[in-house]
Amino acid sequence: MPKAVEVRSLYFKYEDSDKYALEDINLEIKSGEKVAIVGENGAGKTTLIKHFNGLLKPTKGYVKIFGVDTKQTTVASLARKVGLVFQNPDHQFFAESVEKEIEFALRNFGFSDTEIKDIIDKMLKFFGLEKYRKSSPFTLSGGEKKRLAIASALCYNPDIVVLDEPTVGQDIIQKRKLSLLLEKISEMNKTIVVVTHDIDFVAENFKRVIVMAQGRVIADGEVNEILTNKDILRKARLLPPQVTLCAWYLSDLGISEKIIKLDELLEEILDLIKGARLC
Amino acid sequence: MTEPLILLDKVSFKYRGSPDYAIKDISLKIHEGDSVLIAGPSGCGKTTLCRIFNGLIPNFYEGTFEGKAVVCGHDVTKTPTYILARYVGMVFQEPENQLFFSTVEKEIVFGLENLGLSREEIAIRLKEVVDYFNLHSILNKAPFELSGGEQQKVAIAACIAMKPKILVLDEPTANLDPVSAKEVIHLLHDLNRTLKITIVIVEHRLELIAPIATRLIVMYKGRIIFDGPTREVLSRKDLETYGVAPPKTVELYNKLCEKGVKLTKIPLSPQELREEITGVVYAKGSRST
Amino acid sequence: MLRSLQSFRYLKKNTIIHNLDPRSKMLFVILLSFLIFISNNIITLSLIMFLVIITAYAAKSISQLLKMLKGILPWIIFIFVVNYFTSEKGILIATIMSLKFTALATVFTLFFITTSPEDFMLALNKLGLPYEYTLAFTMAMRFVPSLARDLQIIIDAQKSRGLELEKGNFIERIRRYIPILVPLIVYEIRRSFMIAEALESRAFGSTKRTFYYELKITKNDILFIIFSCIIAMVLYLIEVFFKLF
Repeated sequence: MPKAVEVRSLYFKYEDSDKYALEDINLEIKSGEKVAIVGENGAGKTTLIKHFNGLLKPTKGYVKIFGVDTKQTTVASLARKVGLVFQNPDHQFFAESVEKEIEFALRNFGFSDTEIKDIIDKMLKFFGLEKYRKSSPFTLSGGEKKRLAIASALCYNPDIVVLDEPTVGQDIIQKRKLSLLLEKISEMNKTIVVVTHDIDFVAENFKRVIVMAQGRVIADGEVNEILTNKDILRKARLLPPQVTLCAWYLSDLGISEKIIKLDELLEEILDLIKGARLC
Repeated sequence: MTEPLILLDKVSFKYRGSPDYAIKDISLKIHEGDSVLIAGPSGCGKTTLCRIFNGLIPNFYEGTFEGKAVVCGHDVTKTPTYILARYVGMVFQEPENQLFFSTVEKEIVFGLENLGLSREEIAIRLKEVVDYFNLHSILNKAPFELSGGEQQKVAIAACIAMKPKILVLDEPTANLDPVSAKEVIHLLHDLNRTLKITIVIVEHRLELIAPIATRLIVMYKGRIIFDGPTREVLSRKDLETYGVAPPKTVELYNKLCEKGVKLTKIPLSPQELREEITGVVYAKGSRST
Repeated sequence: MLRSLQSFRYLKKNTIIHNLDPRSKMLFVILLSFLIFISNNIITLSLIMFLVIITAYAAKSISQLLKMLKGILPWIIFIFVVNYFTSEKGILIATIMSLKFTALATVFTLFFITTSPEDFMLALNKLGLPYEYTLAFTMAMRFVPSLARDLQIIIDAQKSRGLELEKGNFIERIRRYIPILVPLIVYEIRRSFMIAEALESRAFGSTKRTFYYELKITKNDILFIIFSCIIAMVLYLIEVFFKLF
């Protein structure tokens, strides 16, 4: 079974630039994995994911999606396997109704009329947008628009789902819904890639994180290890998760600096206090 | 008690063409020197409320306006926005759409020109603002050459040059990465503390702003449901049901309480948490229980 | 295509031409445009082209101008071919028409790449155009790069949903642009609301307004104006001379 995403020695330069936007990227994402890509604005995260469906082609090196080299094929055929959802839903809505918006990709990919009707019903139900079926996408609230954007990508059943900054401007209720959604999509055995700079969201929802800085991958591995690593976070100009930051401020009292989960921190603080009590 | 800078009395507003009221029955007072954080889930009316503070509602946005709203002594329903803009500066979420000119300098000068100040006064204020915000290196750059954080800094500087009494910011850090967001917040804290400018911020990420906000207002479905000192409002256990995520330090405080550990106050930042825990540890340690 | 649009942009440089008052440059452009229109002989047009190239050199903008010319080359060729086949003196007329087009395009481009939008706006104000109009114009120019970026994002987003712009016959291709144009128009309309809000919040619309920046006519401007008038007169005489003989 070929890997979902394979990137080797990827270098990328925009046409009118002399500087590389991406340098020496090497990474692999297995089918069914759930990965977060983090880094400050301008680190190259969006540039990287645009290579996954062929919008951008490598200047040097290669990107393979399920074994297919992106340079050898069209964006349309890659998009069939890779659902890429951009940050701002307003950059893609154009149809008269929510159902026609979902229909767009299905028509592009040649689904039959009966299939389309069936899929739209399922998608509306799955995303809780049934009552908006005939509404204009422009009348939806921010959170509903995000759901519709994801629905428009998920509807044609791509194997890989890539979300670019899905948590920007979202309140806690919307983020919880997004977490659940990511879980459900993961249960469908799809590969998930989320680009974000919301470190707390990453800490709560992902096991693997890739850290980018200035066009390079500077870390790739376990969330617990990487998001508590001062060196990596400093290089990437990122803040640690709130819980970790608290742990760092308590480290000289004996609290471990490698904590990400609130309950772990709670335990250690309680132990610390108990210990002091016994003195 | 001095006169409030902003006074709203039972204000409700419905956008034209909309069947529902965006905000209902809002009453509040904001005094000079306050540092107010407005939180609430998407669609709760935070943005609508902000737009009343500088008169965009009802002057720019038409609709049904009920109640009384007085800003710096002016009734918003009877005062055009360009007058209210002298007292209330507003910074929006999208940095790009509030920078209109090809250089930073021109951006700062624009508002001052609109105020009808003399050329000499404009030059003085320009220098003050450039010095305070340290804009020397980017003064002749274009907006698209700046990072998101720098753009917001310029937007804030352009407002501050007009010497408003109040600065209202509607999710100013939403599109910024965490480090830039922190820098902007730090700047706002300075403005509030040293220049005594009243600050009103709308923000989802409470952990960023709570440490610098003296007061927290929570809105839900168009109404104000909590309004009080930050720590007091954050002590409520039902915040999440209203779409507000308290900082993790507050969650920790609550869990410690449940386990019988009492801190002296609710910590709003990791620094405060440290002070509290240190206090508990050394207090316990010095007792022979 | 988006890249060649870049060559029309104002680039800040410290040259005599860049530092001239826009009004002097406008006079230069008007005089030359008039001459280009009325001229029908190769010699005059070539001299005009030569004059423009020298001015471009003084403005250190030759490379930018060349980029622009590369961008409009298809149009130059188009005009050449059409005129070649539709007039009796074929090659001569075709060359003259192409030269006219090129000269006109170059003169105007030279003006816009050496004059900042705000200075242009100030000049128009001084010449009587109300402030609101010139402000709208300069802001439109300032947001062109933003619009270009939004367009690219929209194209990317729709391609990611399987939209193929190259396929289909002519009519089908036009329809395929709807998912590009609708989001773009809606997005830019929404943006203009946000800009209007921000403008009002910066006290725009007040009745009494100061203008901090002002244009100054300098010695160089006087010289340039005199120079433009003399050259224009000379070229006009050359043109008349050739018309008579």
